Amino acid sequence: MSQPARFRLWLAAMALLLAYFGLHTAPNLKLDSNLLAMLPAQERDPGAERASRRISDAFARRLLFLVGAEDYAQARAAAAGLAASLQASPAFDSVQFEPDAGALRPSAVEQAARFGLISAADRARLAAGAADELRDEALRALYSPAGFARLTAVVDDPLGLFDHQLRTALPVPGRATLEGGVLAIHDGAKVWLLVLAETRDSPFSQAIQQPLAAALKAARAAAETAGAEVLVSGVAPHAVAASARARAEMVWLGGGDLLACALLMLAVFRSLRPALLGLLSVGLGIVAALCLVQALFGSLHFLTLVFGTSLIGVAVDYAIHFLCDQFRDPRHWRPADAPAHIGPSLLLGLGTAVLGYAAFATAPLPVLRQMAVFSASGLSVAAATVWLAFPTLARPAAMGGGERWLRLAGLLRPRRAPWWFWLLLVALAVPGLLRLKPVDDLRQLQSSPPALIAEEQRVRALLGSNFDSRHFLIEGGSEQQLLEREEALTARLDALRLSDYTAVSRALPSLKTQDANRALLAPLLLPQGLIARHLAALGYGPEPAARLAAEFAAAPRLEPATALSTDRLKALTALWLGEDAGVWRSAVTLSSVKDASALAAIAADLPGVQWHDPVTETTAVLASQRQEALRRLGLIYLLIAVVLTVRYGPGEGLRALAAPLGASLLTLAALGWCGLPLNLFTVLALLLVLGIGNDYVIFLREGVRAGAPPAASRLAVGLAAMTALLSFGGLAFSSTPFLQSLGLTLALGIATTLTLALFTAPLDSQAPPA
Amino acid sequence: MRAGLLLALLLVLPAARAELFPTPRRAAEIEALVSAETRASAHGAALTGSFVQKKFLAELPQPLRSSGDFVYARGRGVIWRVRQPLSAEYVLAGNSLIAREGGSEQRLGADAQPGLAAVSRLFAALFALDLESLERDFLLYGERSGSRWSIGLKPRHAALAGALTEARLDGSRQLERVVITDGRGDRTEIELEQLQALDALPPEALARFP
Repeated sequence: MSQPARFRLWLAAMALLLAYFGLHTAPNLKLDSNLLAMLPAQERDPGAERASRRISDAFARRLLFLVGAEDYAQARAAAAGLAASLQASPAFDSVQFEPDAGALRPSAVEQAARFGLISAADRARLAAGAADELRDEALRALYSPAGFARLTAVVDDPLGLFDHQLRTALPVPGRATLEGGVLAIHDGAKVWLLVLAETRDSPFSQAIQQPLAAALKAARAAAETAGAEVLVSGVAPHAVAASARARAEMVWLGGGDLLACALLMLAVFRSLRPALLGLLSVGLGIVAALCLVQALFGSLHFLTLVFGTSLIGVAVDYAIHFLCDQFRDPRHWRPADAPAHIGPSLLLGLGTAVLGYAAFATAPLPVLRQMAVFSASGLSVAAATVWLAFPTLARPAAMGGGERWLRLAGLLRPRRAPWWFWLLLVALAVPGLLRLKPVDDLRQLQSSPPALIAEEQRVRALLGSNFDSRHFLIEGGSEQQLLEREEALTARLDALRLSDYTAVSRALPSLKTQDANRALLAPLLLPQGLIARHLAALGYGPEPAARLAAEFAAAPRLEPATALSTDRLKALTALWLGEDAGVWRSAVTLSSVKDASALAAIAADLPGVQWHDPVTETTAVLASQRQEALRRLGLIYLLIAVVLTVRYGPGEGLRALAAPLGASLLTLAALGWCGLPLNLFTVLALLLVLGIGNDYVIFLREGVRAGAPPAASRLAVGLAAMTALLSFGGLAFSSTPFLQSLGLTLALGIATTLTLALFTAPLDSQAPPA
Repeated sequence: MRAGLLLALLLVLPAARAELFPTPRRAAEIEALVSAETRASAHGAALTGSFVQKKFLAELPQPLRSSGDFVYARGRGVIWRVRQPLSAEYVLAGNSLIAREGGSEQRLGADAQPGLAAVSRLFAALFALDLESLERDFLLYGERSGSRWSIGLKPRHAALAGALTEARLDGSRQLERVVITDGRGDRTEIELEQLQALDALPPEALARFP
């Protein structure tokens, strides 16, 4: 095929690509920034997976504001302003400032079924035969100055059992108490009012980020201009801060890198065209990668984007290599000559890189698969652009600048290091590698601004309680089995007092428990029973006792469907996950957890009860993925070793591989010496180091094989390393820990790769004469 | 059916009585209605007195009578000692209620009884005549005829209306009577006698607080 025909082919393909991107990919591009979302589906069944996600989502959506001022009226006005501001935002689903009165009073369904609704503490006392004690307490409560504040009438509930149940079945938000119809906490001279809110969508969802950030800011401003202090607790502010920071860094660092690369190209080639050509090849590569990832995965993970854009550093190598080809013969070079010269190294470089990423295409972690697809497709399109379009679009550079750079590139002449240099490297590397410690803790990878953490801690201290993301998931073959299993769990939790909890079965006991409760009450409701005597002693006539007995005999039991639709209990539907493929599920959520390992142990010996600790689970997944990625990295080295051995023979092939491999080991050793951790992102960076180092050793060898003056390929490698260092080095200054990990490893790795590549490349004396 | 009708009647009654207080007033206006002596004793460190309480419950022909004495300590709470018909002591302090009888002690926290804090504040505010604090939870009403004054309280928010729908304080030289009507139409009447303001809390009373 002639060059014009190739160029036309490329033009047509790129027009199609851009049209597809503009019409289909860009409008539907979904960016996901939740680190948890990149977890693979675990071994458990999909129903449990969905249930667990729902609970984690609900947890992430919850927000708690404390609005504080010295003066109650001021705090109240400020909190009302904050609540109204949240309410007005599309980012929020529900905002609760003045609790609904219906949430406090028993519904008619509960009232009718009250004989079966007895708190666990009272049930234990009834079962122990301590009904007399309960009667005495009920009597004392009648004369108590707080006696009027009961939720049930004496004639309906003579022992106050239903009253106790109503008061204890639903959780109380920590130390907060109702004051002026809102929840308040007094601390020193200040009064803090509670506003609870739920975001409409997960705070990690990219669609909600903008309105959520705006709403949080506006709400805070609304309260602060009213003279109050605002404290926030919840996942949302952290998600918003992390996302905003990462995005800002991407723009700053990514933009800065691109600019630096362009300036470098401008300096070397003395023309804007090469810089633009470099941008063109990289840009089209990224567009193609976005299209393919979105089409295959439905959404783009934020990490893929970070890793993918770092790939600029690799993709631009092809363009640099092409453009540096002109220094082979500066006076007579025509762009159309280049493909014949750089073709083999381009193909070999791309081939090995794609082969490498293919090893990740079957990784269990979706984000690794995304990165593999993103990288392989992006690099292919960038290389194709160089191969098909550059011969038409490129122009020979103005002379002068290039030659000066060529002389500089002479510094990059391969040389041999003395034996003790290698020994020294090994001596330094081994202890460093031994010091290297893996740290996969999610909390260390996702750091939050200290101000937000301090606020979170103040909220916990004021509230005397804190929500926990850890929870139990319970399943059963029927609603009733589910409730019974939940009760088995709550009985343990009550006995061990390891945590406060919220459970549906506390307000809605199983039918079995309701029957057991009724059986305990039955003897007390007999004509001359304890309740009749109690009522008579208070001075009641015989009717109330008789009516109670009749109501008891005819009383219905409380069923989930009716109970969970009442005003008072509908809040529990968040925990009642319902039926999924024949399995009923519910969650028991926790606050103020004291001993997590003991809680996990409880789940281990109860049927149908699972313990979930999302943070620890994520950390475990990150650890297993780090190991998996390391294994695959080893596999890629093997594959590339085979390719290089086939191409260069066993000795030279292995020497070529020594540069990226040695650089990776030295980089790990350096991290070990500096006390920096090994994590999934370090391994991903090493994968990039391999991709880049591989290009260098191939460029250095192929140029020589093609009979080019070695300086041209050295200049290409030198420029490639500079652009790579510029684009990755920036990430090392990121304040997002995982980006920093990635950047630091890459910067160290590339610098070491270049050095080792020069120490292992064929010497000029070994080169065949031009 | 009869019980239902009775209950309905009882629920309607408080609304009818509320007509006694046509329009809510500001805390400062209300304070001006109250006698100087009441104001003076409300601002002391402690207030002691005796009480007779009558509790009118639905379907109960005779009210439940109890009597005893109390100590209100500014900033601490109320000790409510019942002498008749049983001997018990209740300490209402902050968010908790301690009930002592014989040797046994039962402590209820706000977590077991979320309305407790509001009740505790209500009592403290009644004795200290802290109308500003009362104004947070209640609409205030007041009237004065001759030397007698009355203050009415109605919950501003539905959440508190579950515990009480209306309260009324009557007095002349001193606070004499408190009537609380609760959410189910039950009524508690407390007559206060021998009110005495103290400059300092007696040590034996201090020891009763947690």
